[in-house]
Amino acid sequence: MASQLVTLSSTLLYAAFLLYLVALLPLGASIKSKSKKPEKIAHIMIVIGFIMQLSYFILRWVAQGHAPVSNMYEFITMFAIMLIAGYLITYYYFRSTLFGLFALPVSLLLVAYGSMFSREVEPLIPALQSNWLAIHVITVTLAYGILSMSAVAGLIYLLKAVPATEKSWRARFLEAVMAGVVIVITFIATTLIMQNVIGYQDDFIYQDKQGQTQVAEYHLPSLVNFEGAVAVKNVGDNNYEEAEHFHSGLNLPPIIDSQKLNTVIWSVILGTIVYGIVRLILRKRIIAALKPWSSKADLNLMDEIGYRSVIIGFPVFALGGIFFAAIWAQIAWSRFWGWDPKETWAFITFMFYTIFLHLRLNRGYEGEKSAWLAIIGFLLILFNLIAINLLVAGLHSYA
Amino acid sequence: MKKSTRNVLRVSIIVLITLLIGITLWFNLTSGTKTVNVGDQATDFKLSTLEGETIQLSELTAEKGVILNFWGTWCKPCREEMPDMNDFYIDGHEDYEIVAVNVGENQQQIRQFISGLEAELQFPIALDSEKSVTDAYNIGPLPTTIAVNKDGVVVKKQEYQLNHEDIASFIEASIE
Amino acid sequence: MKLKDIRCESCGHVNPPGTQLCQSCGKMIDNDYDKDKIKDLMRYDGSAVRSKTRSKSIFDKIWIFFTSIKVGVSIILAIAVAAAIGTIFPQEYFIPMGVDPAEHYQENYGSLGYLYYSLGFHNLYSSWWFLILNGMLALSIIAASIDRGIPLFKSLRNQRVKKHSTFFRRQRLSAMDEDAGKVDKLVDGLAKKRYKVREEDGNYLLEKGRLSRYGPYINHTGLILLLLGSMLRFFPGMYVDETLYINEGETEEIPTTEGQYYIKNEKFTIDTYEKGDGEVFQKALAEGSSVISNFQTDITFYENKSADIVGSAPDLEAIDESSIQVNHPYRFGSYEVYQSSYDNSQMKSMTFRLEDSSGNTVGDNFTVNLENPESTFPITEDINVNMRAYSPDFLEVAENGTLISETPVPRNPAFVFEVADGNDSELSLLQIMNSTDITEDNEYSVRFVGAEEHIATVLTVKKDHTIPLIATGFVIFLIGLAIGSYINHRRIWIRTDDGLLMAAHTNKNYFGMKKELNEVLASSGMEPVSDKLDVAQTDKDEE
Repeated sequence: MASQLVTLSSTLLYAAFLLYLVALLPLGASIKSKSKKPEKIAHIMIVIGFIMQLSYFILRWVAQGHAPVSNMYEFITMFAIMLIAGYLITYYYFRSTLFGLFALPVSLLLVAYGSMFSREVEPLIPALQSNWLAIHVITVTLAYGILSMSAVAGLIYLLKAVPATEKSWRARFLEAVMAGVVIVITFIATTLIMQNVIGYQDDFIYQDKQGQTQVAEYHLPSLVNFEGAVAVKNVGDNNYEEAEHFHSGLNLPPIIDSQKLNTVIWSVILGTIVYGIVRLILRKRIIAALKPWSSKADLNLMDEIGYRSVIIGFPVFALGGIFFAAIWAQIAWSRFWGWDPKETWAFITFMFYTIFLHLRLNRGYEGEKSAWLAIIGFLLILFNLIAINLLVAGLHSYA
Repeated sequence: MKKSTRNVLRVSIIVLITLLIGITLWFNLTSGTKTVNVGDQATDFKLSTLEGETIQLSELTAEKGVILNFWGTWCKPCREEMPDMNDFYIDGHEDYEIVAVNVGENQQQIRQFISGLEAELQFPIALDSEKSVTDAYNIGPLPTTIAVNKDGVVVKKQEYQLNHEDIASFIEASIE
Repeated sequence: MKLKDIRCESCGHVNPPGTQLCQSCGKMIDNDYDKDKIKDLMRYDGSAVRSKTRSKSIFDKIWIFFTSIKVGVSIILAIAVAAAIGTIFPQEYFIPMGVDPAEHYQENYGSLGYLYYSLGFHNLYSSWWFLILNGMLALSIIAASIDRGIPLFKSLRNQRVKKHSTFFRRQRLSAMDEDAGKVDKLVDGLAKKRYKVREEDGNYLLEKGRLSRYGPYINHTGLILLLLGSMLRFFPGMYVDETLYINEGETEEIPTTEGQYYIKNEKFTIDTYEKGDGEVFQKALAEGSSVISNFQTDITFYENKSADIVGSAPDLEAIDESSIQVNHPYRFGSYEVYQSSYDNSQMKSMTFRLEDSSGNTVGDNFTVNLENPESTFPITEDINVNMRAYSPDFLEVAENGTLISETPVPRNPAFVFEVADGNDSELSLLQIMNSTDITEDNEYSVRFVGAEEHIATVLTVKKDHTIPLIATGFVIFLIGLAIGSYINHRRIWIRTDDGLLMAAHTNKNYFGMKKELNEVLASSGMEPVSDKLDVAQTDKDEE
C-alpha cells in the first residue's frame, strides 16, 4: 500500500514537471498576444501543477511516515515547489505574467537537478528523528522560494536594462550567468542520458581518506581519478574483477572527490561546447536573444518585486534558517551554533541580505544595483544548497 | 537630549564595549590554562595507597613539605626517574614527603613494575584509579611533579623527567 | 562655534541645525549628508542626523565613524568574508582528537593547509580579531541606531499637520481635485482603512503603521542582546561543554559538578532498521549497509551524599533512571546530557584455553579481565595458570624481563603466562596472533579463544547560561524584523485652502499604497494618484 503511494506521488511530481514545461508555451504567448486567454490558461496549468506537487509532498509524507525533506532529492524538490509558491504569491499580488516565464524554468531546473540524487524513500537516522526536521526545512525552503523571486525580478530587470551588445562588464557578467545556466542544463542532460539511456558505467576501486576501500561508479569517461584507482568490473553482488576502462591518467589525492570533479569538468567542457553552438545558431549573445521577452517588463515593478521579496523573505529566513535551526541544533547536537559549514553559509546568506537591505535603505542601491545584489543572493543560496554538500561533508552531510 | 547627556552616553557606550571586548578576549585567551600553577593553593585530596593506607594531602602538609609525582608505568621517563627519587628518599625525608600518584592504573600493573625494580620503593604510591586528583590538578603530560610547601601552596612544578638536580631543588622548594 | 538654526529659503520655516530637508516644505537644505543620491529623502523625516551636527573629541570622532552605514556595512561584509574563509578547511574542533593540528593540516591539505593553520584560521571563530569585529559591529549598531533613532522618534512625535504646498509637489504620490468638498468623503474612506486622522483648520494628516519605523531599532536592540550573550559565553561559569566517556556498567563523575553528581551507563544500545520496518523502505534497506535507527544510553543518575575531598570514595544515592537518545537529552539542574557517540575499540577481556602437547584442551577456559587482571587462574585441580606479566598495549620486553606498555589502554595486550602443574613450571609469552615459548620444551601451550570489547557511550555534558539571553535577543530581533518588514508606515497630507491637494508617503511598498489610495479616491469620485516614478519611467521609455 505505502509503496503504491510512493509511486503515485513520484508520478504526480513528474506530471507536474511536464505540465509546467507545457505551460511555458501559453505563458510565452501571453507576452506577445493582446488577449488575456493565454495568461489564464497558463495560470490554470501552473495552479494544477502546484496542487499536484503538493499532493506529491503529502502522499510521500504519509507513505514514509516523515516529512519528505530528509535528503537532497526531497530537499531540492521542496525548494522547487516553494519557488512556485513564491511565484503564485507574487502573481496574485502584482499580476505579472512575464514573471512566470522566468520563474518557472528556474523551478524546473531545480526539480531536474534534484532528480539526480537518490530518489529512494529512506528511514530516518537518529539525528533527524525530530519534529524540527519538518519545521526547519519547510520554513527555510519557503524563505528560499520567496528570496528567489527577487533574483528572478533582478534577472528580468537586468535583461531589460543592460544593453545586450554593450562591451561592458555588466553585460559580460549577465551573459556569464546565462552561460552558467546552459552548463547546468547540459550537466543534467548528459548525466541523465549517460546514466539512464546509455547506461555507461566504469567502476574504479580506490582508498578513501580514512584508508577504506571504496568503489567509484563513473558514468562519464574518467578524466581525473583517485590516486591508486584500479579499473574494475562488477561481477555480481559485491565481487569485482580487474577490467579495462578509459582513463586519462590524471590522478588526484583522496582529499579531492575526483568522481564529482570529473562530472564537473565534463559539464564545463560540454556546457561550453553547447553554449558555443547556441551562440553560433543565435549569432548574438543569449541575453540579446532573451531581450525581446523582457522588453515589456515594467522596471519599477521589477525593482519593487525584487525589494519586496527580500523584505518578506528575509524575516522568514531568519526564523527558519537561523532561529529554528539553532533550536534544533541545541536539541540534537547539544549546541545552538557550532560554525558547521552549512550553518556558516546560512549565516553568510543572512549577512548578505542584511547588507542588501542596508545598502538599499540607506545608500540608495535601487534599480540595477539592487538587481545585481538579488542575483548574488540567489547564487549564495545555491552555493549553500549544492556546493557545500559537494565540497565538504559537515554535519549536514545528508542534505 | 542635552549636549552633556549626549557626551556621557557616547563615552560610556564606547568605553563599555571596549571593556567588554577586552574582558572577553582576556577570558578567551586565558581559558584552557586552568592548570595548577606555582603560587596556587594545592587542592586537598584523599587517596588510598598501594599498601592499603589512606593519605590526605592536608595532613601531610601540616608537618612537612610534599612532592607530588604524577606517573604511570607505561611512561618511560616516569620509570626512569622513580629509582632516583627513591635514592634521595632513602637518604632521609624528615622534612618532606614524596607521594607518587599513579594515574588510573590497576594494582597488578603497579606491582609488576615495582617488582622489576632493583631497589624497593620507600615512598607511598597513591592510587588515583578514577583520575579524580589528576583531573582536579589538570595534569597534562606525565610525569608531572609538583612541590607543595607546609602552607599548602604550590611552589614548584615540572612537566618532564626529573634529573638529580631537579629532585634536589624540588626537595629544597618543598621544605622552604 | 554654535551651529545655527537653519531658515528654509523657500518657505521660511526655522529648522534645527543639521536638518537635511525642511520640516515644512520638504525642500532639500543640506545635501552634505550621505553623498550618494537618495531617492527617498523622507527616511529620517528631514530631521537632523545627530552625529552630523558637530564633531569634537576623540570619542565623538569614534562615535561618528561608527554611525556611518558605509562603515557598518563594511563590518558586516568583513564578518561574512571571515566566516566564509573559516569553511575552506575544517576548523580545529572538527579534526580528530589528539592529533597535532600543525601536522594534520600539513598532511591533509598540503602547504595551503599549513598556511591556513599558521594564520590561525583553524580557530577562526574564536580568534581575537573575529571577536573584535563582532564588538565593532555592536558599536556600529548602537551608534547608528541612537543617532538615527532618537531624532526620528522626535520628529515623528512632533509632526506638523500643515505642510507647505511645495512639500506636496515633492512627494512621490499626489492627487488633486478642484472641489475641496470631496475631502470629507475622502477622509472618511481613509479612516475606514484604519488611518488615524488629525485635522488643523482644513489641513489633514492621516497616518497608520508608525510602529513600522521603529522595527529596525527594535531588531537592533535584539541583536545587541544577542551579541552580549555570545560574549558572555567566554566568562567563567557561564558555559560548560565536557565529554563524558563511560563504559557499559561503569559509573563516572559528571565533570564540573565538583563530584556532586554521577552517571552510570547501565546499557548502551545501537538499533538498526530491520527489513520489516515498513515495506516502503525495502529498497533502501536492501542496498547492503544497514541504517541505524537509534543510539541510546540507559542511565542511572546519582547524587553524591558525601561531597567530600577529592579522591575519597563517593557515597552515591540513585536519584533517577532515564534513557538518553539523540534528540532527547537528559536534563538535571541547569545541565543537559546529550548522546554524542560511542566507542567499541577498547578490549574488555580475553579468554584462553590450555592445550597439552597432543593438542587436547586441558580443563576449563580462563578469562583475563584486562582492566584489573587476577594473578592466578585454576585450570584443573593440579594445574594453575599464573599471570607473571601483562602489558595492556605491548611495546617491548624490558631488560629486567617485564613487559613494557606504550599506553595504559588495552589495545594490544601481551601476557607472560606460567603453567604450573605442581612439579614443573613453564613460561610463555602471548600476544595477539603470536605466542612464544620462553622456557624450552614446553608441554603445554596457552591458546587464544576470544576477546570481549567494551562498549562505551560518549556523552556531552552541557551547561549554557547564555541561552536565555541569546534566545531573548533573537526573538526581539525577529519581532523587530517582522514589525519593520510586514507593517508599512503610510501618511497622507491634505490641504483644502486651494481646491483639494493630497500627497502621500510610505516607507515602503508604494505599489500597495497606490492600490489602497486609488480604491478610496475612486469611491470619493477623484482621479487616481499620480506617481512621479511612473511618469519618469514613461518619459524614459518614450525617449
